[in-house]
Amino acid sequence: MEEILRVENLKKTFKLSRKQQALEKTKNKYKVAVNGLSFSAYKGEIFGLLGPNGAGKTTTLRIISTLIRADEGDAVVDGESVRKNPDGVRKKIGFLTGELKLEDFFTPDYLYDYFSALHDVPKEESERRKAKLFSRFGIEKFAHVKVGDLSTGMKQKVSLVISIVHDPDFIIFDEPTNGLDVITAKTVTDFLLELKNEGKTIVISTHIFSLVEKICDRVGIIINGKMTAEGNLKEITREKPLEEVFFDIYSREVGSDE
Amino acid sequence: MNKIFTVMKKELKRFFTDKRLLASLVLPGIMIFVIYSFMGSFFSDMFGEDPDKKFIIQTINAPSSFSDDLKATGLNAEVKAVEDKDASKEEVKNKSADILVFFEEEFERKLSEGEQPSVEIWYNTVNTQSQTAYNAVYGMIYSRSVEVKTVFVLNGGEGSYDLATKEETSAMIITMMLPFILMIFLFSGAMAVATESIAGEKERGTIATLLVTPIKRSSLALGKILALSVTAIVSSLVSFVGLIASLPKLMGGMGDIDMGMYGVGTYLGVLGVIVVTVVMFTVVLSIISALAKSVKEASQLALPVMFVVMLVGVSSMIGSGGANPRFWAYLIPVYNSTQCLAGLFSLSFDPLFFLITVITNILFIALGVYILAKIFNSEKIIYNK
Repeated sequence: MEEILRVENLKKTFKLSRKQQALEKTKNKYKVAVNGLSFSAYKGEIFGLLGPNGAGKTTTLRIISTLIRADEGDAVVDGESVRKNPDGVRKKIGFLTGELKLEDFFTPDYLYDYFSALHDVPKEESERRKAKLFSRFGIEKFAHVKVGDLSTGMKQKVSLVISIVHDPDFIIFDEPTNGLDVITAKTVTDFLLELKNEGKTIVISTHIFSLVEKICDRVGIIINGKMTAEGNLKEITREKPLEEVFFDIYSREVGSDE
Repeated sequence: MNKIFTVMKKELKRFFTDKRLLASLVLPGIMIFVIYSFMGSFFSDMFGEDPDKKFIIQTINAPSSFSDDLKATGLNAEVKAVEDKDASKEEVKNKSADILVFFEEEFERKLSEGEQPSVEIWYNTVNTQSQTAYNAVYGMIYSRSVEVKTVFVLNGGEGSYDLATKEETSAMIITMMLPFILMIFLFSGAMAVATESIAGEKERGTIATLLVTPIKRSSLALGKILALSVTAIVSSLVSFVGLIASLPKLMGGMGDIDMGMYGVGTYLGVLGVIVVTVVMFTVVLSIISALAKSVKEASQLALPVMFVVMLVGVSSMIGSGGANPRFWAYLIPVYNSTQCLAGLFSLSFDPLFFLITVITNILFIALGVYILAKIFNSEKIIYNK
């Protein structure tokens, strides 16, 4: 299998403000968000990072997408290192998170063209791809309506489309179905499977077991910034429900930490 | 009543326990103290009167006691008796003498006989030295008239004793007011667009969408600054045109204001200063906006900067009297723009100082763009929510 993403011994520590120390009920000035994380994702698969809130999933994905820098370790996307060539990595990835929002003032049509230009997509190719994606998600009906006047589901569809204007082979989705209604969530998961069938490599983060079971080929369970289990979904679960397997690992890891 | 106190207590707790809000309450007072103290020493160094510099006071028919009386006022003056009234007036007009004091012939005799001899003092309002000398001598002669219980006729003749031309007076009034007002307009115009730009994107979460694209951070910073600058420049130019159009009416009470006395060159110079100053304000405010957590915080952080701009703007009033700041002062942003505008409006434009101002501001703009690009690379600041 062709390795598209290789994460090696990733470490990231954040300095806590006094407010954060109070919230975390700790006197430590630093929090280790990601602690020596390593994993790989292969061509044409969906890899799921599963873990509770604060486990380090989003931090890991932000490092891979070059939004933040790791203290140690590296992530290599299709031969490009996030540490050595972040610009090269940005050209190769699509990144979508619930935090990625669009400016209310503009229309989906305008924003699509804008992000296409930032990704250096040739005009003709951009138009062709826009027509295809807008049709796939029914965006053409509201393509000229300002984002501020769209529903949450419509906005998420537009965000999704905009994150892949450049037709990347490697796509990162941080909590792809968070906060979505069931219909939009299904549209998103169906689209992820379509992308997989087209040969794209996808890494998602989630805490929803059913989503992992439904779409992921392989999974990595992160707890307290460490990879506690990684592998084929069937190998990890061994006929047991994923939820049960996760809580077994969680009890073991958190118990051993405390 | 208890509920009033409960509400009041909560509101006061909000103001006095939030460090940022508390700072915004206290900061203006501290800023005023610091900036005025700094400006005081700065201006006294820059524009302060030279203790060795003497006022040139020319007299005709002056009584013998005039020089001693003047010394008693503490005015460091060189009193020179002249004969040609018109020649002396010309000297006051071209600033080679400060004032001309003309006593009626046989002044002392007439005074002793109870007559009311006249005294006339010619001065030049566009020369601060002349103004100071005029005020001192006028006060001295008036006090003397009270002392001897004889009313002198002080400047009782027809016509103006102010030898400044209408054009010079206009230029002086404009120089006193326009750079100050203009600097505030320029800053406000930039503030209206720049504080929202990056802090707003952070607040709405749209900045991350941009940062995952392959665009270079410096291109992003430059693109934003250029767009904001164009907007701020348009806003500033509209304000400037409005100001120029309304000035004759606004300052009509201070004399005839004629904006037509300025040539195309002056207006082009003003335009040049406006452009570099607005872009510099935009860069500074964009940096503030990038450092702030929210648009509200960006506006709060921009206020102290506005104070500085306002207080520095006042320097055009102080510096308009003719004393030109030293060369290195034109290396200070904001101050150099204010002085350049003052120079242009007072018709004492110096191309060298204009050039230094433009180059200095462009260098500061380049530095600001570099800093902003660095900020876009700083995760601590971009994710500082």
